Amino acid sequence: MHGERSPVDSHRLFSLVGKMHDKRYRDNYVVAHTRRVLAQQMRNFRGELPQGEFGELIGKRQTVVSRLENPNYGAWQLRTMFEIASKCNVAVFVRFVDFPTFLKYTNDLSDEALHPESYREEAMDEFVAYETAVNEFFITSGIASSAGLVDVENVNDRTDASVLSNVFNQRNIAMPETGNLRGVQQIAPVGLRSSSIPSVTATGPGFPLVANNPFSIEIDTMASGD
Amino acid sequence: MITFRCYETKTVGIHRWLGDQPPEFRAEIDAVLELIQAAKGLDEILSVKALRGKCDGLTEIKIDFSLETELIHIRILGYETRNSEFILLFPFRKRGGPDYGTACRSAFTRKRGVERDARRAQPCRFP
Repeated sequence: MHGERSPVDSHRLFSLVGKMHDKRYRDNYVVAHTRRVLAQQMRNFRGELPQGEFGELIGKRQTVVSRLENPNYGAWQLRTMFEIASKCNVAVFVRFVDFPTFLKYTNDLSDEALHPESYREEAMDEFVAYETAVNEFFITSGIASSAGLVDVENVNDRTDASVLSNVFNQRNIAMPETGNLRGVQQIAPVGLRSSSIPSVTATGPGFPLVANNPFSIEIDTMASGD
Repeated sequence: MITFRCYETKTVGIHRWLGDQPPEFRAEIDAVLELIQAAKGLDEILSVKALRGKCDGLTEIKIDFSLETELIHIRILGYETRNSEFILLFPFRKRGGPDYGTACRSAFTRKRGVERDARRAQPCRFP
């Protein structure tokens, strides 16, 4: 997905929010989700290689590879994560977050998320071009961005697909096929705490942004959460 | 994407069983099933295994985890259908050896029930 921001799965969100009222559930869900995603990512990094051969590539013994692929293994060390990330040429993202943020950033379980792409110069350039164009769209259309391009608050509905189209054309970036703007029931973390806070989520395969990629900007004036 | 359907009757079923489990168990089960749901195919998922022998025709979802000092082993028996559907039939906590005899018999009974009447397995999502 190369950084694609998926709209939050509302079924998952509402279900988890309900279940997470129970501290025992939410504490264990964080552990279980994290542990199992890490194990699956480790398995995906290896691909068709035997554990021993993959271990040689990342400088670990076969037994260590086996352990890291075990979804029940819960003793990951940051140092090990950094070492593997370096060998696989990907990044690691670890921080303490509030639960709404956790829900948002654990929403994506796509193939691309579970098998992140190795560092690629072109992907970085495309990322910058995409972000710049979308950001310009928000500015041009009068939308104030207080938190980058996602979770834009204080949004009104003064959006226009033609503005976005112009922005992309001026920058000579492949225009998304549809450039559609559509209202969706989109939930941002902040919406869990207060009602009637509008949010915007920009989505698109986008990274790398190439012709024929479908694209959408989803905009919502949200009133939910309480 | 894998689509789940859950065996449910008025008296027994996946959700009724889940509701009887401690929150720690439910959290772990949700996390496993959520990953499976997002997968393109079951073969790429670490915790899924086709069964053989007396249980041939069934697939198990293995959910192993530690809770304090205790090792917990949950198994959900089911089967894959066309269209990337997986029917969850019979969940249980494994406490002994590898013999799934009783559990597989129950799962097969439920499977026959679903094959007779598909309404016994309703679409379901996790978490």
